[in-house]
Amino acid sequence: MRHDLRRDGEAFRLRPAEIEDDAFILSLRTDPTLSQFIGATDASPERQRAWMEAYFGRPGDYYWIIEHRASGRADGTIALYDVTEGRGEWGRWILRPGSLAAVESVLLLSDVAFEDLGMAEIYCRTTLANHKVVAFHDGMGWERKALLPDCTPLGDAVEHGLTHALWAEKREGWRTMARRLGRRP
Amino acid sequence: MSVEATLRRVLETVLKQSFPTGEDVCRSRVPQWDSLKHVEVLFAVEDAFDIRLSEEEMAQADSLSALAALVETHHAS
Repeated sequence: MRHDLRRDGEAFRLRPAEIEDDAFILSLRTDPTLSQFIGATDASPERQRAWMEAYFGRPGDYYWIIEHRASGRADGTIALYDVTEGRGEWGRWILRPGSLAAVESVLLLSDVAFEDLGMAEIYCRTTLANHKVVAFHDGMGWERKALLPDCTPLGDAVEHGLTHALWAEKREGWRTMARRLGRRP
Repeated sequence: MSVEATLRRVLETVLKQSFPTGEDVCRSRVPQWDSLKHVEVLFAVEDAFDIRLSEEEMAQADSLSALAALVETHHAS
């Protein structure tokens, strides 16, 4: 949906995805290395634009560009969707190779979810074959909530959850990490 | 202790596994070396060698050999 939820972090920010971002988004989603663990994306620019138009009209769906603050460079995407009754799923999380935005982008998304949207819980689902992202969520302290058999084209998936209480417990540690990453020559 | 030995110890500590001496350690080939661990590796390297990596250097530091080259560059300057 169209929204104006923005968050500035130390080195990165989340800004709403606009129609003009369709080429960038398509480039990420059709990169063979970056997209190996996500659903298939039609490489047609027209289809991507049509998807974006549909997204703008979809309630409870928030899509952001992860932007490098100092340079304005688009580093990736992240989204929160199926938001209903204080709970929602996040994903569409793709970062360009070499980006350092992983920790801060997840921190900023969780801040938006719990501070701006007043949510109670957010969760994500990762195919188990995507070992590094599963390890990332485990390492960040997200709770494994469920194993979802045959949930994706690549097989089983794991659901990680973050409640408001857990976010409140973890956020300062994530913020410290983002702060140290942000102060770079 | 040599730069390589120190870096190997840093990687083994952060990634919680052993890497044979003499072999390069590459992020792409180590499943445990995810985005979060990458940040932890970089911070540990900075602390171990008292250096500060630039954002560009952090993005390039995806192996023991690359880290060693960065450390050598920082210590030479």
